[in-house]
Parts: sequence; C-alpha cells; structure tokens
Amino acid sequence: MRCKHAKKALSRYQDGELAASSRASLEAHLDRCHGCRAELVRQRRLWSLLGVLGPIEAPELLAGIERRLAEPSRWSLWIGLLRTRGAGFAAASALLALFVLGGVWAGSTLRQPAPAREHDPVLTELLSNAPAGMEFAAACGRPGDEP
Amino acid sequence: MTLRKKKGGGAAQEGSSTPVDEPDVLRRACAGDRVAFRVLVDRYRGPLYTFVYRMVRSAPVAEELVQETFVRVFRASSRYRPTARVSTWLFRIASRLAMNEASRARHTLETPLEEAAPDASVLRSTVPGPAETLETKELARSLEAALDRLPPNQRAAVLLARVEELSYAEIAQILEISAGAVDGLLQRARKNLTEMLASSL
Repeated sequence: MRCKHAKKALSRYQDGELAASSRASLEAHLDRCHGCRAELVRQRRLWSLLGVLGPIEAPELLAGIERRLAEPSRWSLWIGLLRTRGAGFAAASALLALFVLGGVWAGSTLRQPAPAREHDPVLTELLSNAPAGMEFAAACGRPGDEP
Repeated sequence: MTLRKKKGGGAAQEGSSTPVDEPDVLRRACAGDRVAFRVLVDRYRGPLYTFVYRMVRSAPVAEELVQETFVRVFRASSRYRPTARVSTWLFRIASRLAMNEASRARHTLETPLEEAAPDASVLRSTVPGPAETLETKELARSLEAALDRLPPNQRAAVLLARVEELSYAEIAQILEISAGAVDGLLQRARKNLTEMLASSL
C-alpha cells in the first residue's frame, strides 16, 4: 500500500469500518511508514479531543410539541378545503392557476426587449472614413443603403 | 430497539433502560396514547437536541427545530415503514432541518475561530464534574468553533460518527447518501479539523 491510499484509509480504519484485508495491508504499511503513523496519531488525538463534546441536557419539549400538533398544518388546511368544497374548489384553483400562469406568460412575452443592435468595429471603421451622407444610413441600421 | 451504538452508552440511549418496540410506540403515540408519546419524546429529545444544538449553536433555534422534528414525525407517521428505525427517521428529519439552518446561518454570519463561544449553560452540561477545568472549557470552545467552520454536511457526519457513535451505514441512511460518501465527508472533515486545531494536536 502507498501513502496516498493509506492516508485515505485512515479514517475508516479509526472508525472500525475497514475490511479485514485492507486493515492488514494498512497495518503493514503503518509498521514501516513514519509519516502515516504520525498522521494516525494526530487523527486519533483529534477524535479523542472531540470526546469532550458530550451530551447536552435538553429542555422540556413536550408542551411545545403538543401545542404545535394542536395547530392545523398548511397541508391539512388545503386538504380540508378540498374535502368540504370538493370538485368546485379544485376547479376554481385550477382556473386561477391557469389565469395567473397565462398572465405571467403574456407579460413576459409582451415585454421582450428589442434585440440590441450589434456594434461592428469593421463597419465603424468604414463609416468613419465614409463620405458625408452615409451617417444617415448607419443611424438607420442599413449601412448598405444609398442615402 | 434503540439506536445501535458501536461502543455502547452515550446520548442516544438516554432514558432507555428497557427495550421498547419503536414502531409500536410510534403507532400508539400517534393514535393518542399520551404515555407512548411521552416515551418517544423523552427517549430522543436528548440526542436530537445535542445534535441539533451543535449544528446550529443556538439554544432557542435548536429547541424549535427539535420540536418541529417530532411534529413532522407524528404528522407523517402513517407513511412510516419499519424498514428503517424510528430513530433513523427522527435523525434524518432533524439533520435536514439543522443543515438547512446551518447553511442559512453560514451565509449570514461567518464566525471567526477565536470569537465563537457557546452558552455557559451548554458548556457546564458538556463538560461535567471535576473535568470542568478552565483548560477543558477552552478546548471545548476551540472544538466547537472549529466544528462551526466546517461545511454543514461535514459537521453533521462528524457529530453522528463521534458524538452519536453511529456506523457509516446508519449515517448514510440519515444523511441520505452512500456509505462511500460518508467516508469522503469524514476524511475531509478530519483533514479540515486537523488543520484548524493543529496547535492542540
């Protein structure tokens, strides 16, 4: 095993997740590689330090959970409306959605900006040397037209 | 049945002196059995709160998110299939909520390593008894600040692996990723933490 693979396997090795065959070859590598052994020691120390972060005492949650459960959820409100108003409510919702989507589509289509006129450096160069009267054609976006 | 611990003991077994059939307790709790409801909340509020608090580092937010976790589980209990443990389901919902919150907070507030400090009450319960020395407190602060600087998914993987002592397969189920991806997260998290805490190692 090479150092590159050994370093990748250290995490699983420490967590007891390395297969037996890989474990044996990693341990053989660790026996002869000082660098990887030092890395293992560092990682073990890190994991041991993280042990300081023990359990935290939780506050009493039961009352809050019960209060929340007593409130109707957003979904239950919609389902309730569907159940009581049935098909009429569903049809009205679908119509409203269609109307809104149609409005959005129409708005975006009608408000399409006109394509910007491209700036052509070659044309600019030609026009700067053009005889008087050619400027009009350029301003109208038809440089080939006769003035 | 409780969360399987690789090394035994710890937060997830809080209040679990007798084995309980989790799916049955969940079913009874959702059918209005107050005793079953209380059993489920009491059993998991500790480990869930510990995990969520360390993800979001705010006691009121953690309390809110753990309550929300239980509410979502109770409301969706009819969809529960006993292919995964109830605890895995609880942690999956809690981790989704906590990672969203941690990502949001990460965008709005970058906590410098030296400035981040948890509430005094949290530190007291984190490092109990005689071990509660100034040095240990400082160490806990540095560790928590370093964890805060990890991306939320790496932080979640470290907390589930180290604090909850879950296997890669269990973490994979909770975070809804492959066991290989859990390995990748933990490798990167170890590398990042080793660099951040170089002076303490």
